[in-house]
Amino acid sequence: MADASIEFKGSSFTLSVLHLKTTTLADLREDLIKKVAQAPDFFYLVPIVVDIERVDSSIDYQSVKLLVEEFKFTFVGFTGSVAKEQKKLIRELGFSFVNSANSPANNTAKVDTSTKPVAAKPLAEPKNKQAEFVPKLELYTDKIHRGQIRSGQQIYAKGQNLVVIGSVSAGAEVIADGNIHVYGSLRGRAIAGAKGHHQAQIYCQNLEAELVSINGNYWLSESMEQHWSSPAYIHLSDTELVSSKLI
Amino acid sequence: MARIIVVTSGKGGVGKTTSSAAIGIGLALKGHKVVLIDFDIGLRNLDLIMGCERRVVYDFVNVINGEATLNQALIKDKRVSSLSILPASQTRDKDALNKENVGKVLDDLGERFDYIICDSPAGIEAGAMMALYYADEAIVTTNPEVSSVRDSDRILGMLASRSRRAELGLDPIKEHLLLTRYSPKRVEEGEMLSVEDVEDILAIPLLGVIPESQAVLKASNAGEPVILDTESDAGKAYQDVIDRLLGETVEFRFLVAEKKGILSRLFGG
Amino acid sequence: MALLDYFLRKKEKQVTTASKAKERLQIIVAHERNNRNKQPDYLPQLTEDILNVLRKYVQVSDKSLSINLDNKGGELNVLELNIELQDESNPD
Repeated sequence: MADASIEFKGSSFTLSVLHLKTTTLADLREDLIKKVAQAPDFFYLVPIVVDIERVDSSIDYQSVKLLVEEFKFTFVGFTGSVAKEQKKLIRELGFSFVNSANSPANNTAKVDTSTKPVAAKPLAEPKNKQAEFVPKLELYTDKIHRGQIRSGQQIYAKGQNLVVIGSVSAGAEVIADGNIHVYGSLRGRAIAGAKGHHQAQIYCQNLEAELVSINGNYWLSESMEQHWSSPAYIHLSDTELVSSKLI
Repeated sequence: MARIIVVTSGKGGVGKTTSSAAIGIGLALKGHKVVLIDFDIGLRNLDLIMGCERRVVYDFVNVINGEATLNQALIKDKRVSSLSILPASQTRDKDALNKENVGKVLDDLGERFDYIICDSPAGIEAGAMMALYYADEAIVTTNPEVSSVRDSDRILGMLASRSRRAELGLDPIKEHLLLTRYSPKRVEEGEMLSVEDVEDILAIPLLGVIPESQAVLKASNAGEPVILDTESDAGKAYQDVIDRLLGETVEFRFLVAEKKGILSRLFGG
Repeated sequence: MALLDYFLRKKEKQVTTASKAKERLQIIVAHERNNRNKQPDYLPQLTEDILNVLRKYVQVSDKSLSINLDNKGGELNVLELNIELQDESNPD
C-alpha cells in the first residue's frame, strides 16, 4: 500500500559465518581471543551467524550467543544443516535460525527478510534503497594506479577492481570491492572483495604481504609461507583462503 | 630561478645535515651560487656542521617575521664565497612557518642563487613538510637499516602527495636515493641490507653511496663539511654525488670491502 | 725514531678534533643558555592554560593571547598579557 509508513521487502545480504567445531566454551573463547586480537577493528560490530552443523546438539545456545556478543560481534542467529527438530528448538528458545542459500557457488548465509514464514529462496537483487546495491564481480571495471604505493598511503577502488603497476610498500594498504592485481611486490595489506564478494582474488608478482583479506577472511604473513617471496594469487574456497602459484 | 633541492629522510640521524653541508659546499666549489637553509624549528644544527655557529645573528623566523632582512640573516661561508647559510630558528612555535611566508622567502632567494638546498628536520611534522613543499628535487637520505628504509618510503609517499608539485599536478619531484653509512664488509657478511635490497624496496634512482667513515665525526667536530676532506672515502663519495647531480655519469665506488693488508691497517684510516 | 714519531703524531691529531669540538660547544652552549633564561620554559603551557580558561567564557583564537616575561632591571619581573577579545558583532 503506497500510503503505509513501512514496507517489507526481500533483500540479499552476505554475512560472516562463524563455524563452531566444539561446544566447549573455554576452547571457543580462547580461539576467539586469538583471532580477534589479530585485527580487532575488523571484527567490531560485524553481524555474525553461528554455524552449528559440526557440533552436537548438546550445545548451550544462550552461552554461545553471549560469548559472541562478548567479543563485540552483532549476533544474528544460528545456521547450518541441522535436523528440523533442532531448528524448532532453537526458535523456541528465542533465537533466529537462518537458512543458508542452496547454490553451490555461494556458501555464505543469506538473510531472508521476506515476510513469508517458510524459508523461501532469497529474492533477486534488492530493490530497496536501504541496502547498498552490490553489483556482480564480473561487471567491475579496473581502477589502474601507476606507481609505488608508499608506507602510510591507502588506495580504495570502490566498486572496481584495483590494478597497481608498481609495488605496495610495507605499511601501505590497498582495498578493492573487486579483485586486486599488483604488478610488483605486495608488501603491505591487500583487502579484496571488501563489499562481500567471495570470489574476489588477489594477484601479485611477489608475495610478501603483511595481511591479505578476501571478503573478511584474512591471513597474516605467517600463513603465506607456502608461496612467500614468489608470484602468487590468493582466493577463497568455502571459507578458507588458498594461495596458489601464479606462474 | 633557483633549483630547490630538499634533503630529507623521515628517520633522524641518518646524515641529512652532513649531506646537506657536503652537497652545498660541493656545488658552490663548482662555481654555483648556493644557499643552505636549516628547516628545523627549534633545534639548530646546520650552522654547527658548517662551522659558522658563532656568526648567527638572525635566523629564518626572524626573516619571516620581518625582524631582519635576508641580507642580515644570511651567513656567507668563509671558505667559498658563493655559498650562504640561513640558520634555523630556536623557537618552538610550529606555526612560525607556513606555505605563504616560506614561499616568499624562497622566491627572494631564488633570484640570487642557483641552488637552494633545504635541510629538512627528521619526522613528518611542520618543519619537514615545509622543507619538502616547494622542492623540485629530493635527496632521500637512507641508512641500510630497516626503520630508516621504511621511514624513507613514508617520506617518498609525502613527496608524491603533499608537495606543491603534487597539489598543482605539475611534473613530480625528481627523487634521488642517497645511501649513507654503508659498510660493504657487513653487507658481504650478510649482516647489512645491500644497495640492491634498498633499491628494490624504495624503487628510486640511486644518487650515491656514502661509506661509513670516521671522517664524518671529525668533520662535524671541526665544523668543516666532510667533502673538504678529500683523502677520506666519505669525502670522495660526496664528490661523486656532486658530479652525478650535475649530470655526469660516475661509477659507484666504495661498494666493495677493501682487503686491507697489515701495512695499510697500521697506517691507513 | 721516525716510526714512533709517526704514531705519536697520529694520536695528537685525533685529540685535536675532539678538543676543538669541545671548545666550540662550550662557547655556543653558554651563549644559548644565556638566551634561554630570558623566557622561562613554562610560558607556552601557561599560554595554553590561560586560553582554555578564557574559552569557557568568551570566544578566543590561539592568536588572541600573547605573553611576555620582562626582566626589568634585575629584581623586577613583569609578566605581560595581551588578550584580544573578539568583536561581538563580527565573529571572526
